[in-house]
Amino acid sequence: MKKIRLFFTAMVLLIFSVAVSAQNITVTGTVSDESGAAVAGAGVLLKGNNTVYTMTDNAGQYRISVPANGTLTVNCLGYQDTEVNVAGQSVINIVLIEDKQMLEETIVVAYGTATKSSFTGSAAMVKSESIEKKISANVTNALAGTTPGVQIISGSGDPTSSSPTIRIRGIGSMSASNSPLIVVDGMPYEGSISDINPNDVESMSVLKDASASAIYGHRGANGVVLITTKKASSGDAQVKFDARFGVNSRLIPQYDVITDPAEYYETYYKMMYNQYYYAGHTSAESYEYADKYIFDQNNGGLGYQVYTVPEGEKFIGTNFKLNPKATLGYYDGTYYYTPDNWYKEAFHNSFRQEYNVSVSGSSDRFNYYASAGILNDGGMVSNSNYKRYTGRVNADYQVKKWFKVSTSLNYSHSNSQVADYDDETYGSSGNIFYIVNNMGPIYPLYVRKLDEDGNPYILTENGRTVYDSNNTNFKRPNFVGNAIRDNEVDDRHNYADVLVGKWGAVFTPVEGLTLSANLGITDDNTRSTELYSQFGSASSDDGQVYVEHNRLFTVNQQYLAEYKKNIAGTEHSIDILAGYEQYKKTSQLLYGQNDHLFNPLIGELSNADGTEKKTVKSYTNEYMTEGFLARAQYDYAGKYFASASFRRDASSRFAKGHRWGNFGSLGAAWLVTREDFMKDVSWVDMLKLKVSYGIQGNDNLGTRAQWYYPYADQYTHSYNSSTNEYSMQLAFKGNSELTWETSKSFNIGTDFELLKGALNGSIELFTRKTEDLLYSKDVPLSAGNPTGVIPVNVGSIMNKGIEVTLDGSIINTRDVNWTWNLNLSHYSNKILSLDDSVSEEGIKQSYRIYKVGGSLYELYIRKYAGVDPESGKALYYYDEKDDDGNVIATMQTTSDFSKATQYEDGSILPKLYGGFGTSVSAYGFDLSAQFSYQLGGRYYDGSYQALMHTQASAGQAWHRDVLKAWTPDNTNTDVPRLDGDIQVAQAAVDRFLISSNYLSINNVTLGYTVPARLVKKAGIGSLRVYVSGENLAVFTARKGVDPRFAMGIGSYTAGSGLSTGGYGAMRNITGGITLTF
Amino acid sequence: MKLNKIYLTLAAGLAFTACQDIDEIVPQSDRMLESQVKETNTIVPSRAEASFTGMFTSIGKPYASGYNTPDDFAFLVMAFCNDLEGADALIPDTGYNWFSVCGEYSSRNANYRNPYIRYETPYKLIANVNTFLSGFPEDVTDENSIHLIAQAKALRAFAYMQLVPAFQFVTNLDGPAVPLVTPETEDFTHNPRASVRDIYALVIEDLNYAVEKLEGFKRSSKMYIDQTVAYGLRARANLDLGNYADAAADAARVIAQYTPASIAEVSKPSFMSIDEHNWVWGYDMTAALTLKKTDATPSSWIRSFSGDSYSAACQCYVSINKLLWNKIPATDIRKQWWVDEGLHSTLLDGLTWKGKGDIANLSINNEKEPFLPYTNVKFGCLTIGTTTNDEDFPLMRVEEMILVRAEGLAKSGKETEAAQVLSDFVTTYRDPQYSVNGRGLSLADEIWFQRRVELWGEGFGIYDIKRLGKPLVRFHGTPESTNIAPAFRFNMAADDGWLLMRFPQTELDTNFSIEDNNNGSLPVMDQNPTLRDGVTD
Repeated sequence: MKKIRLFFTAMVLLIFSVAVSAQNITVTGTVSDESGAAVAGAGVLLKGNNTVYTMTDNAGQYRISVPANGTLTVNCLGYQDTEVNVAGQSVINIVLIEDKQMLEETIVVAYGTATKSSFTGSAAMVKSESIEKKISANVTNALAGTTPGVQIISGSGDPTSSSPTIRIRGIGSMSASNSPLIVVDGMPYEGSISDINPNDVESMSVLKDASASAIYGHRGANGVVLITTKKASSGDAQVKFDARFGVNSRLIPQYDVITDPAEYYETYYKMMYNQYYYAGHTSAESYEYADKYIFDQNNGGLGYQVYTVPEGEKFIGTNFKLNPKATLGYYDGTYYYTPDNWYKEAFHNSFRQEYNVSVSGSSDRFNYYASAGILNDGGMVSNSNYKRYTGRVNADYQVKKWFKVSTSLNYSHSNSQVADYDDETYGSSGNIFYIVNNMGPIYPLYVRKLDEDGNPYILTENGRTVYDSNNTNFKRPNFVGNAIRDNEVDDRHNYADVLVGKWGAVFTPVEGLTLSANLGITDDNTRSTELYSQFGSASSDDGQVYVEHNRLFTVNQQYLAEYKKNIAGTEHSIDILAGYEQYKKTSQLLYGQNDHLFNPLIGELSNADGTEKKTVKSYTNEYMTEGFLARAQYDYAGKYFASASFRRDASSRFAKGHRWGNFGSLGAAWLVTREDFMKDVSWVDMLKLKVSYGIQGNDNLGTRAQWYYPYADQYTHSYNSSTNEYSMQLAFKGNSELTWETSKSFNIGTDFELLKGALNGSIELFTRKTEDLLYSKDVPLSAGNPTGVIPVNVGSIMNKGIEVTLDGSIINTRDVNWTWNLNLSHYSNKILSLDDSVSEEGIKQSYRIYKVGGSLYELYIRKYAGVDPESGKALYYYDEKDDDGNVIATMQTTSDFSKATQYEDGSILPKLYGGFGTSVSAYGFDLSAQFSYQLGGRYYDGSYQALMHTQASAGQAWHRDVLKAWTPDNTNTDVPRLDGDIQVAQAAVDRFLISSNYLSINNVTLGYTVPARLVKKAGIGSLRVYVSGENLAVFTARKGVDPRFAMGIGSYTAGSGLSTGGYGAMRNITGGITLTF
Repeated sequence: MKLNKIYLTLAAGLAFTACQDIDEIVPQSDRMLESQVKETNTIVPSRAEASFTGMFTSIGKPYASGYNTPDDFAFLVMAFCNDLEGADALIPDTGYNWFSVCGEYSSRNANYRNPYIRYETPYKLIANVNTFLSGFPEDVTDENSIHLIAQAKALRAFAYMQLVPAFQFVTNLDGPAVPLVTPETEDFTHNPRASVRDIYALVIEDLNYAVEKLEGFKRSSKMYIDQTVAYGLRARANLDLGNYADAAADAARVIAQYTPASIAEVSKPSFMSIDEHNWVWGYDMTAALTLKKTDATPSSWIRSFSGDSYSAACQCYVSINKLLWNKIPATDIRKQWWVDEGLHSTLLDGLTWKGKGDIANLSINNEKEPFLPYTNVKFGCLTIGTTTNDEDFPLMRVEEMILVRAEGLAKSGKETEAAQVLSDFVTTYRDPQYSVNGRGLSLADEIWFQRRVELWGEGFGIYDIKRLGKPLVRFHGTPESTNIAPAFRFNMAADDGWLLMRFPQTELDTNFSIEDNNNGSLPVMDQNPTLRDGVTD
């Protein structure tokens, strides 16, 4: 702030530089603000003579020589200009009044900017100061916990794809996208957000209600995130350099699993014993059964023996304890077996470094910002890292008084190495995270032999470590191959070259009228190579290589005319905008795969000599929208504001005749504090009431090929070279009637500033009703539809919510500044109507139900009734029915899972979520912390369910809670007996629901700005050093869970249950230095 | 003012805009819109046949259901599951067994993938046939069209015959089976389960049409249906319906056209190419199809010789239950279709896997584990160690028809003739020392025994058990009696309601007239240890 004041003053002084006249007296005094604090850097000038000036010092004091009858003008950015007649006084103390108008935040809104007070919509803004604090490659991560109404769902730590899921004001669509539109510098953006360097971002605005975003028409239904990149802010050139170095580490700990191999064997042995015993065999037979099969991987056993037991003795005794004479490690004459800690072997800390430099400056005609950045972000497993190089130039040039051009170019190159995992597919042995989290604690990671002295060593082969991939004399019953090995020997690279450009021309032919034409492009060329090594999973093909080139090209054209006018002599002012916008996207792929690599290390097709499985393919898909837009804004006396917008859009996703949709909004705001009757209410600095209503559209059914043309039937084909015949099949059944999904939003709220900045905030209530939902409707399978679904417009959903933002300052003095912020959001989601063909019972799935009156996140789940203390069997609730299907008794218990009733069990959505933070700056030091939280929701912990398997699932890890299983001696427990029961298998049971409450420490930053006087000599403008901890901790209901991974609904194999297959969140601790000169 | 210039610029911009036509956006990819299909058919009229061929391709297409999992390959999955839910075919109880739901019978679950695929697959084919048939005018007379219609109808019959026995015992003619869907069906959401009788009426009608209209039709490949296939399908339908004499007569029409595989021919792993002369009808798997996913193929599961398979790489070999294998005489070449306890089979003699001998014990990391006792070597691969997995799959063999004929004759009062047919076949083509009464079984059980051995792995397992009203017998009371994994070791009574599948959730949610099967309960290990099926006793 101070810097800006100085600059402003300097500017003013520069402009008024004329000679001084005589008859002077010397005037001294102090300039302070209303609170009495000194104002440094305020300009004090002689009115009417621009050469007489001075500036207040750090204590707010000035000394100036002026004519005794002159008038002093004091100006300072953020305060109203103040004039004082000298009238011969030699000491004049001046109190500056804060200028609300000047201080007021300007926020970036659709097609322009608005002052906060005139804005009728609902928006939240994050500025560069807080964005720069985040240690993240992805700028949208800065929205977590800082913006009310915005849910950021990302438990992923993958440095190469850290794009979080963003949900603004709930979930409005069933099958269509719920993601907001991203707009970068006014142009829709579909590239990867990580290709934008967060250091180049000046601000991010989240437009939440229709009044703010309806002008984006069809694309604004789920809210809009506006990203604005930096421009020069000062006349003098400024060079800014920032360097940071940090360490990435795994944030989410492992579940509390059994890690002691003996304990694991004992538990498994007991499970096998019970399996046989409770199937009706004698105790002796059951011991025999467990003894016989415990190592037999083809009959439900574990496969591996890693203990040496004295000849002829039992491995595990009838007391279910390991033979005390057993020793860890087993030698079968060829190999030596001892378990490894896969978790520790796979995960490690890594280094992160980032350098950014920017140069900016402006003159009266030219504004220039250029930057370059390098990021090298390491992952927590091997061969997982992200390198990014970015360069940006933003330049504006005022060619003529009536003509301005602007150019913005951003180039980004990234080179990432991608770990082998897929968090959307359940149970892949090739997924490094899945196997590390689920591997039983008895399995070796490496193949070992014994040397001559009998000491084990890890086998190597031609310099390569030999991993245990079932290549010894034992076989694991689960997890084929070895994903840690594959992650080492395979190679997956993505190379992305992304150019984002914007060219604009602005004409101002007459005062108030602005005509502008803008062209924006995104050209994203990403080449991916995947090498599956002959030393890994692709051994039978002697190595495989997949090469893929994706080209995404979007071009957006905008032609806008805006007219602003203050009607002379009145307090009416209007602002009218009209325009045309067209967006076109081309998505192209070129792909090849082959095998038999001559050189096992080269992942290129030309190194692949295979002939049988060679594949190439390519395609082009296009998407286009166009539309006309208009907006009118009216302002009376800076007190009453009204706005209206309209947009008519067409989308290529719909058939001719169903393509155009009309959208628009109305909004009004009343700045109550401008009214006379508020003049005396001194504790209210600002109070605004606002209301808006609008209609927006959504056409985004998804990114898969079929959703480019969902209105049409689509066919695929193949060729049989032995019969020389083509064959063709219907692959997708389209719906030519398909049209826009519309959402109707209503927003009412208030913004306020109280007690001189001690308490600011806003409260907003909203409803969002989505109608004609784009929905992939299930059709009876007996209808033989190729995908089982047809896209339709059906049903409606209501989201209602409230958002509260509060912030303020606790201490605000010259040296110490302490502020805090808090936001909370609540919303509920309710299905209002569904297709007529859906019965009153709704659309049921294995774990959720869509039903009128319920939410989109409504559980439909079997309920656990605890353990039968007599038998130890798990009990489930069911509703007993008579022969006609009428329920005659509810909530009965049964141990037959197939009889258990699926019950509706309410929404899992949190009741409340948001964030809070605080920041203190004092004597050059600054300390800030930002937290986010979620309360009152539930989370289906399918990963825990997998770790609590009562069925065999041989070789898979066990949570320690299974040790609490029922036994005849331990009947008071809620964990059923371990008896190999397969009834539940992967079905969802409410037993595995936990609270999704969490508190996360998103960021803590401590910085020190070296006093200017110390660095000035070195020619440095400012110097700040800092340490920052990103994603420091998450407190959750169970160790191992990260409720930020998904919305919370799921099963063992779907949704939130897939978390162990995901790239867990990372913690980052970074130190950095920022220099300007 | 220089407004002219400005307007010029804007006009230029708008002119550029006008070039773009939102109506011209069509895919340039493997996907075609209806308009592009029509365009193609106009330029290249022969492409119109592709949608007909497509119906046949769909029978074993990897990833046909879009699950993109190794157990997703359409009808061939259904066939495989029929065997794994039966008594004679088994896969180890390990985490690599994607079909353990069949072994343990947990497939009666409305939310599982496996039963979904087995329900959805035939209905997709039925819908394709119905759409195809609707494309012809009612008074179509040209011979080519008639042949296409006849084949399509036979395919529809085939689809229903795969579907019905899963949901109802075919012997229960009035029992509810599955919804009946024809080109006339309009309301899919209130389409109740039709009786076995009603559906088989359509099946027989379709097959009668096919038999009549395909007279003299010469097909271009054995992937298509000619009159013999139609006869063969009708023979199966008649067997299901208990029309034994008709079944025998239909089967005889097929037998007249084909010769069974000789002892020499089945003394090596085979049943892999549509060109084998004993195949009446087969699925022509192409590399173009398997490239989509080589592990979602029969070669990845039932064949023990693929270098890119679950069977070999994960030791998930499909083995025969030794209850049955023990009953095969040593003089029968089919004894060698499975390795013995010591992993030996004469079928392996002289074979190598990428140059390496002793295939049974061979271990190649990531590719080939040693065989297990009773691993099948019946089904071969075109190249041992192949990674293309494009082996064809038999949908009908003349040997089956001989056994159908024998059964038809035996059950229509012509026992002597039946015994002769059976004896002639086995003696000539499988076991020179064969005697029909050698095992002391009834003729009907002897024929079933022959079906179980001869047609093992080809999709008849549980359907035969249910058709014949037999119990499912996987073990004889002791763990030692069988090689099936303990988790899959149980017997089920012939009328156990759990033998019938359950409808997928989507069907229950959207077709309001469905009443699900709900009898029986999940079998428990070692249950019903005293049940016997008459053949493996």
